[in-house]
Amino acid sequence: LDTWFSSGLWPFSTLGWPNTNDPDFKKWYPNSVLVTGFDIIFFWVARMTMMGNTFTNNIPFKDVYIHGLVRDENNKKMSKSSGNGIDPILLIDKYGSDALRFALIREVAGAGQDIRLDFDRKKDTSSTVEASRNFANKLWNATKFVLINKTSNNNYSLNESDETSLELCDKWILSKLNQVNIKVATLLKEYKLGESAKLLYEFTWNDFCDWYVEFAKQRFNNKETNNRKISEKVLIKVLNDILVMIHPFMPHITEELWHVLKLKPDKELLSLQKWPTQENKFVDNKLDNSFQQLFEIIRLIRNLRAELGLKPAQKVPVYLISDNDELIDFLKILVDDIQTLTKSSQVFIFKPNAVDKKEFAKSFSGIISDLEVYLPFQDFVNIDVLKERLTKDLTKVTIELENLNKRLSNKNFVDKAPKDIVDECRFKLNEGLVQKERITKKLELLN
Amino acid sequence: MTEMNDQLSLENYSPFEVEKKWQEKWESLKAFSPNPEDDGEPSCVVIPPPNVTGSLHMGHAFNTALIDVVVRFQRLQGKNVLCLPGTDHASIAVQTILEKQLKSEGKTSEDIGRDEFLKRAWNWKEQSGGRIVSQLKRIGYSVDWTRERFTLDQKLNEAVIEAFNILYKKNLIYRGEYLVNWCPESQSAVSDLEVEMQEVNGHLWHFKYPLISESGEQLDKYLEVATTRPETLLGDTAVAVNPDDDRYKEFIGVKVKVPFVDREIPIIADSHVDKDFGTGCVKVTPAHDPNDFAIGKRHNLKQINVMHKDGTLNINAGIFQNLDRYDARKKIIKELDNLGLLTKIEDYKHTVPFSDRGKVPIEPLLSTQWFLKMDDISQGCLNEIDSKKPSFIPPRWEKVYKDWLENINDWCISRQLWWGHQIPAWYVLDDSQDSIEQNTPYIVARNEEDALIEANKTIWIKY
Repeated sequence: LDTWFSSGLWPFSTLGWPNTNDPDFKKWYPNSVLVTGFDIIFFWVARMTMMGNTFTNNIPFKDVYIHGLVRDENNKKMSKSSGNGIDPILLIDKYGSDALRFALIREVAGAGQDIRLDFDRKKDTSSTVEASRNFANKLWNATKFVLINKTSNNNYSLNESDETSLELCDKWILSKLNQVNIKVATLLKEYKLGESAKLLYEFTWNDFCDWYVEFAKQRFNNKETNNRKISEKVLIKVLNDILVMIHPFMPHITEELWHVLKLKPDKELLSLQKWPTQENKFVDNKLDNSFQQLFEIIRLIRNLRAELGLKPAQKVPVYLISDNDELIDFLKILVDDIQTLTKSSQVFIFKPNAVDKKEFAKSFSGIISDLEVYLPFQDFVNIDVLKERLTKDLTKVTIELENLNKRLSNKNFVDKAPKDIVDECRFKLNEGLVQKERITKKLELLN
Repeated sequence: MTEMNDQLSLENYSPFEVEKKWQEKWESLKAFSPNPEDDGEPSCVVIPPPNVTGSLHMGHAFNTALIDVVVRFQRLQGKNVLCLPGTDHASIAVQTILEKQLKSEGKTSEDIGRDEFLKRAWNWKEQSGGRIVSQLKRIGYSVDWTRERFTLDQKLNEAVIEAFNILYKKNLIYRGEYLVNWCPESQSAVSDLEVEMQEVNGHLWHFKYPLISESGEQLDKYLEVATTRPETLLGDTAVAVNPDDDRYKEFIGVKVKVPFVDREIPIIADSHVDKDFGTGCVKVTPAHDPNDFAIGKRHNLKQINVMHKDGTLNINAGIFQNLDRYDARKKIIKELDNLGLLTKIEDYKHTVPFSDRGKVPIEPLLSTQWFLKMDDISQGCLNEIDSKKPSFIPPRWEKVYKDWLENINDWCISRQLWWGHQIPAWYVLDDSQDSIEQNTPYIVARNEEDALIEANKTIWIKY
């Protein structure tokens, strides 16, 4: 018999059919979903629907999720004959199965699309799988941080009274967490696997590890126990939810870390827990926007510090000036955080009429919507050293610009080089021009 | 500090250790073996079974990762989830491997017989079948290994026999002459799946068919046809033109003579003929070409098979009998030229179906095979798809699926392979006939006893 004859019975012959009283058949037939590649829609999928419909009066599965192929580093189809297959076991040995799984799923953009897997055949390495392995490491280290800092094994669940003592950053991370929870659950129900993996990655890495953990660090240095306790609870709550939500993608590391957190008796399994409750009451879009603005301000200050050539230990004051009362009030609450996160000696927040801008004549500055940022340098940096450095930078940019101009005025290059290379040159030219202007302005300021 | 001591394992992240630990724990705790009696909305995925003797490739890893995310998510949603694993017997792949092994021992499968062959196949499965399973486990697949299935399991065989009997009783299964992809090298019918289209630099031979008068005299008029397989002309039973082709309207109904075999065949009109291809006249060989087979069905043409199963020509080929198909081709071209009938040889790049198994061009060949009627069965699915059963993600595949169901042919379900399920049919032999022929009566039943009872009844009625 044709092999597809028996394969056509697979969704129900495996559950005990023709015995329609088999408990497995009664409970689990029809199947929920079939997940398979497009190349066997006819040979297999249609044969199963036809056989299923004929013998059981039921289409054997509710949904059919059709996925694409994994293509090699050159976007070529992998095949035995071209010998360009990438051995999954090799990558599992090197980076772990969690990393490989996450890397593959994160590449999925829209169901049914082929994905590309990066691979270096000389070194047997894959940068995308390595990136996922780094993500696993990030989770590991975040958990380690939580464990080192948690004080007791008592109740970690946030209760009503805790909710009244939440700080702004707690409210913000809980808002983000619940949004991610709602989005990811919706996406997964629609089989948007790649999209959910990306969302979880960004939330975990950026919002949780890069920002919230940094906020928490300060509070762990704080003597006030309640502040510390709340932060601990929020940290653990968010981390726990992250572990549950990432579990389907990276089952092993999440199971391990979840056990290490010891929120439940050791004999329980993360695999069999419930998806975290979605708490709409925490969702606060306005707060998200405010925090987004705060992060931009902090990034700007860090950039200005870098341009001034300041070392982390060199603390300078920062001046924030805005007309926006709401923003000023918000920033004032978080002033200590801004100070620590930007390594500033002090952060001053003013309304424009409360300060004479002439005082900031000798400052590096920047603008984020209706807020101005000033870093006065006069008393803090050696002007000559700074000038010298900026002059050097200017020379470098000028040479680079000359080279780019030369290439782009060469008709032969513009006409014959690949389009993306020419485009890249143009892009670099524009960037260089902006940079040159910035450095020139700063040098003027110093003179 | 006590906690810190507990967490020493957290010092360094070793995926290898963490993964091994949890894979073993999940399996030993039977974490993913659900009880059908338990509460929870049922949710079930049966995995696409990989070939039992294969090894894991990236496609499997991708499929597995996707399925596992789906089922683990469903479990976290509190559903009663079954994800059932299994492997496929990979009939063709295993058969090919075993035949290679036998060849290296200087034997063939026929030498050792079916029983010994199957013994070897099961041994091979036992030896190499664990590999793919242990590789799937390394991905962290949350399937229920206690429910693992193999497509040749006894239980699954019972399902196949039951399914076959039901279809047979519904008169959906028949035996028929049909063009199948025949592989002369491995001497078996191969499915479309096992046919690989390859582009070859071949030729298109143009030659003339002389017209004959009503009284049977050869006229000095000709129709020109072209073919990539001149040897098939021996089986031609018509020349077809498009009914709207003004050049040939007057010839419709007239006859031409097939050289070498002196057969008179009609010129017929069929709207499937492309006026603009070649001369607009095509030779029709119902027994050796699927398109011609369809034309033959429409016009009730005779099917004349000119080939043996080993690729040599048979008695219907007249003077070319017993020549290999390619030797016959050369000879026919030469003879056509001698007769002044060959008009042109054109270099021609075209695709030829090759057998995956024998690595030679397949021949469409008339032979007795088992078929499943598809009209009603596919119509049933077409009715369901209107209410999104099943629902395709992404939805664009729904159209592809529908188109295929609408244009489906009857399914040739028989295979000349030993490693696989057998058709549950028993031939009825008596004293007058001790070998199985095309017309040997047969009984479809669930087992041999039932077949015997049925056979006795049938024969009783017959005589």
